[in-house]
Amino acid sequence: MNSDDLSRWLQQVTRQLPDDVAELIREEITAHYDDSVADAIAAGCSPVEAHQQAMAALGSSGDVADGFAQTHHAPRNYLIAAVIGMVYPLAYLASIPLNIQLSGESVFNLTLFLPLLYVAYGFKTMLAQRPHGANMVGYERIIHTGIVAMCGARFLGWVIYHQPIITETYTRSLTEVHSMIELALNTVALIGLLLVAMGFMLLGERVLHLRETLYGLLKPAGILVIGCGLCLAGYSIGVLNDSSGLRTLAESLAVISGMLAVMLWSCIFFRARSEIQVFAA
Amino acid sequence: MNMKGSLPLLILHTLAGGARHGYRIAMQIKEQSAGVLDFKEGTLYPTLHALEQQGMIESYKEMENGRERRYYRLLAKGKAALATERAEWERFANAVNSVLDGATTK
Repeated sequence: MNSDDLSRWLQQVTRQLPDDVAELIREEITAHYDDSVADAIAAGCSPVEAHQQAMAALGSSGDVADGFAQTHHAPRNYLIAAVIGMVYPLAYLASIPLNIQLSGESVFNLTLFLPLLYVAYGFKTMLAQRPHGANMVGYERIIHTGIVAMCGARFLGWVIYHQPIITETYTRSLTEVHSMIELALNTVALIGLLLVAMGFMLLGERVLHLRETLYGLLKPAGILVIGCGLCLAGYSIGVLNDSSGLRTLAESLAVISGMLAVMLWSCIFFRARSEIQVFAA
Repeated sequence: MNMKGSLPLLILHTLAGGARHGYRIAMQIKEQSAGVLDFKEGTLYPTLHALEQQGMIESYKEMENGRERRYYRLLAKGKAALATERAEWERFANAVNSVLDGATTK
């Protein structure tokens, strides 16, 4: 035991970290461990007992690994999530002239949509980092589940039926080929969107008393996502009723609210990056 | 006792007494609390690194008993944070004590 146990513990703690940081942590905690063993032996423990005590005193490698991952990865994760969040609306805007030039051929595809999963991961990191993390896990799971359901259903719809990914224009009439499976996929995607909105709303409500700029943005984000969902529902009604006026209006509003929500997420991540706190409330 | 949240404050307070390495910080907190604040020592280091990233403390290497150790010392930003967090903690503790005192006098 002893040095093997410590090596294993350190390996678990540092495996997600850059090499230079990992090496520094190994040196620092090994010195701590040696001091701990020396003090225990000086207090009358046998060497075996001293090593056991020193290992027990270090605590769970999982907890310490999580702590280091938050400390050394959180700023980078927030930045990546923020940038990815911005890519989506910017790419959509860039696709408009291309779509016009290509006479309705879709160029805004799934590859731009799925990275939003990383945004969900960013939220997970952010909420775990913040002081009230333990109470926010449930909300984060709701948001995460919603994004996965939305992306998953859209992905299947895109692969099987070449469905639009939220904001593209349908190239065929829904009433012609709409199968029950396609309708079910759309329903799952909308439920996912609703879950995302609900997660944001609950989270915003839960943390509103903190009056922090960061959390103050969560509730508006939830409202925008709900708005986007309602507009998409309106778009579907417009398609089914063959009402081009309603369809265009609902689609435009869905795009605007959806893009604003995504841009707000990016702001939240940028803010989170500069507001990482170590003091709990 | 649950240390979550109060560990950064305790670390800053300990470093206000002079530069120390991680093991000394852990031992001082445990000794001064008479063992009540018996936290897992491994969790000290992520918090130390986070405080350093935020410019509240800085680390440097120094030899001790023929071995290179990483020491931490308090910076101006850390002193200011210590004063703020300490005042906040006292306000919180006073509020709890007021409630508890009120309960016992009834």
